[in-house]
Amino acid sequence: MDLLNRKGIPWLEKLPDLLLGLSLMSWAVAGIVQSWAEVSALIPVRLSLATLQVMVGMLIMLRPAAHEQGSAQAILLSLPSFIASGFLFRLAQPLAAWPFACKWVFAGSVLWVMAAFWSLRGSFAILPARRATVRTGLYRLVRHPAYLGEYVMACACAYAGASTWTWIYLAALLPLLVLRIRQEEALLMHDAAYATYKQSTRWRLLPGVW
Amino acid sequence: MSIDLNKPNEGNGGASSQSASNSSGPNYNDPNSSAEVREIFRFTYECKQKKMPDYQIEQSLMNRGLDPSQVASVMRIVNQAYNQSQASQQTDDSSGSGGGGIPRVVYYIGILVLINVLSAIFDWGFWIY
Repeated sequence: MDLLNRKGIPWLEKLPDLLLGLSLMSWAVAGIVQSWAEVSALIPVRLSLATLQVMVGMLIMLRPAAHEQGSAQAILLSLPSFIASGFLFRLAQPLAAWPFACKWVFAGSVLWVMAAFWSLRGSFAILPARRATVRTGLYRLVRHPAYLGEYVMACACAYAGASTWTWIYLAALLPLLVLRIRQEEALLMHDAAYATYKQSTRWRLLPGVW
Repeated sequence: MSIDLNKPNEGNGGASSQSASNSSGPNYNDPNSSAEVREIFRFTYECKQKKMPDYQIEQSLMNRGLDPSQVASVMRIVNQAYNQSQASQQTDDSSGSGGGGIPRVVYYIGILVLINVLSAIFDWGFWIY
């Protein structure tokens, strides 16, 4: 209970984060149960994904309140990229049929994303919101390392799915991600620390490209 | 420029959010504060309302002759008033059901149900977090 009340946040205000965090953890369990019969689906894709979901759930439950929330417009413009990856993963079923390389590229990307989230910790947010600026770990290389890792996860799904639709979704995901990054950065630039960070870490997603 | 920023704070710790939202900060309606101080708080609050980044507001205040500690003091007070005003507006707009609108908790539950259903449809897959 102390965690929920830290920095004076009433526990009731933390309830949405608590429920969302528990939802993510339940998805991890549901995914493992679904793939339990097939070891080739469970390892490494489902297990790595479940670990990521548990971590995201924990981060959401434990994070402090944001200094500033994004506008309704920023949130709406960020949502399509959030959902597009779900379609990609669905189209890439069954997991057991994935090529060996795809499985391990996916799992490696999950580790990359988790490393980025570990650097974020209390500054983690799914929708645009302003919290403390993080410039350590993978955030020294690019300003959005988690999105980079998640896009590689999407690439693994698209390759494994190997249908026209998976490639269409993968191609559509990139501009949606760019849109989301622009919305987030417009908000984060309200903080002088982020403006300084932007000058020191030039690249947003891929060093040398963008 | 010599400005006593402590003066407007005296005896006026909690201006209502209503007064704050009427383009007034917590202090500059205090008759004891000088016109100059009132003008600084008014200017800072208007900048916040225009969504100007904090560092730009701080720079503007420095350009007006305030030293860094005075700037920090003004920003702290105005941010507090502004956040109270925003929170009050949000509460008026969407919390509870007294205003006849849909309570915020209903939105939360609706969104939670929706994303859980979508996640099940997507085979409990990953989202771009």
